[in-house]
Amino acid sequence: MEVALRQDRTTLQTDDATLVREVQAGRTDAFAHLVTRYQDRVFNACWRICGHPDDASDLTQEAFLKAFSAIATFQGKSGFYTWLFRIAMNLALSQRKRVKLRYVASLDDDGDRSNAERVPDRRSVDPSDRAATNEVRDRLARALGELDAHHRVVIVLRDIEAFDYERIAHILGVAVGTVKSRVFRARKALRERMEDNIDA
Amino acid sequence: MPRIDRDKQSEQLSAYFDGELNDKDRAALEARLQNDPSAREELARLRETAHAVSELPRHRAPESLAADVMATIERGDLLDDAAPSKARGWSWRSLNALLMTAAMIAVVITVGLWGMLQGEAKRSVSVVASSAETDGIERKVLKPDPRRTQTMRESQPVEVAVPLVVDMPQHPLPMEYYDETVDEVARVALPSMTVEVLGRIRDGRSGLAAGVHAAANIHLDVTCPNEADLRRCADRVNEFMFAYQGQQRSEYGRSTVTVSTYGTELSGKNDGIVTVESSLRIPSSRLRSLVDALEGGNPRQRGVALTIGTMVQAQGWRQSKQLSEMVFAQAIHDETSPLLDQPNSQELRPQRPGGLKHRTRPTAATDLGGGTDQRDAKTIESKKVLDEWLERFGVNVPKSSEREEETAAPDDSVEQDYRAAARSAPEQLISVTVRFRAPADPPPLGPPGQLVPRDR
Repeated sequence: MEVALRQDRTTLQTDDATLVREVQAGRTDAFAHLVTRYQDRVFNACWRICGHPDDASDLTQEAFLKAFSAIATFQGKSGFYTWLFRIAMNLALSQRKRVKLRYVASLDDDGDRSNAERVPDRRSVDPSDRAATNEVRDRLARALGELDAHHRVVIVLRDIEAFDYERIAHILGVAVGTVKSRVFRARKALRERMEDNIDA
Repeated sequence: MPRIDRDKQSEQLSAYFDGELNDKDRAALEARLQNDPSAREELARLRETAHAVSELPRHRAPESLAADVMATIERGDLLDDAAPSKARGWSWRSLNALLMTAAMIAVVITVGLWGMLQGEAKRSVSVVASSAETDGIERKVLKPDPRRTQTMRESQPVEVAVPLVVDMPQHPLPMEYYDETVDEVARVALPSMTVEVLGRIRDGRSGLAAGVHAAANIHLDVTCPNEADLRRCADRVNEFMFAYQGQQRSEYGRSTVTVSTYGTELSGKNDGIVTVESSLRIPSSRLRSLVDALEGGNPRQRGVALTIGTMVQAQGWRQSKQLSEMVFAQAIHDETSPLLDQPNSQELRPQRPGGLKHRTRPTAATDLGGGTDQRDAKTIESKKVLDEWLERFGVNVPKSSEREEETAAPDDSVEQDYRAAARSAPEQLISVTVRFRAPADPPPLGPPGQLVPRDR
């Protein structure tokens, strides 16, 4: 047991490139560590993009399966995580093209609060303030859902996943200049949507 | 200030906030910030928005996700390509998929052309799947459905209903979503085709069957290394298009198949739209034989055959995998029948690599290593099913003694034979992409379990 635990700790500390090489060498179980390592982040990003937990779950699974299928071709020019995100975002964008009616219902339901790992609100413990924070959060989530899919993706990649422009450009297969302008436009559109929602 | 300039400045502010400006631009912008209150205000708004987004709750993946992914990988049941170790070159799985496709196409063509060969003016084919669940993979046996028998005039399209059995273990739906007593939920007429959607319950799982009633909007995405083959294939597709739609849509090297299907609970979210995108690869020689065979039928039958051929090829769609297996099972089963041995249909026999003589329909029993008795029982059952089909088609079946003796190979040797054939297969592959796309104007949503028919 102790040995196994030690091995697990070792694996946890193993970098992505080593795990990828092990998978490429046929050690399928090494892939499990990559899945465990990144599933939450991919899932959260997919949820924010497609707006539905079931879709996000499907997309996340599909992204990992596609990554596994194609891992023999992965040369490590970008990080595994960036590569994985590229697959996931392509899937999410193509899924968004296919299913457009699904988004609306899920963003303003309780899904955002019930299944989420809440970020502690350090600024206030007053229940009324917390309710106000939740309202803002819901409004923001709704506004995010109303954005054009490409704008939503860059918001997720930049402001949630904190990718820099270069990596976003790599993930989306566009120029850095395009990312720059798209991030700006997405933020502008998001703010306008939020203001519209307040007015409404 | 012109709006374009304003936007440019705001874009710079956004990039500045993200730390993405070079030294020169950053210095210039910081100088502007000192003297421009509106720029400072805009930067504050940017910061506020970005901060709010970053503070959104983080959703965690379902606990079972990693296990599901790894289980899929370990089962070898990947969505597209093979596992990394098999990523280069042939594998049993890919070969099996090719053979399935070829066999499916052969069955489809056989069904379509057989009517022409028999010269019958009235024809209807209906298929209902029954399942015997064993190891989580449903094995299908096709049965004719007497409730669906219809007589159609020759001037109408040949009606061929192919069930699309959908298994959604990951999306179990409440039982009330289904009405077990109602087979035909709706028949939806689209501008290009008619899709019949059936709601069923099988073993507590959800199911959906869809049948194509008319061939239309066939748009093949064909990439072929051999230009002559490609041209020939495109010519045939164009013929079908012309026969049905009066329009040519295929192009050499680049085209798509568009089929729209409506379903309610397919996704479990009642969005009323089903969209499928899938692809497969078939050997160029099989495409040639397909085209050869198609040249023999009348346009309508060829079109129906091709449509169904493309429908059943949707192997990238997980749910249609069962359909593929089902049709494949029937295809292999049919090879035990005299249907393909009739003189005029000889050319329709799928060309198997290595000239394999395997003629046993794969069943749950054989796959699980069942005994001879079980296989015999399955064979008898299959023959019974086939007889029902043939009777339904009006086929005069020769006695078994008149048939060429079958050379059944043991199941466990078949895979080896396939693998050997795969290793030696010199054929180049043609990739075919089939896209099923929802129309731009979907019908209004209906209550669970029902479809809203489109205006005809």
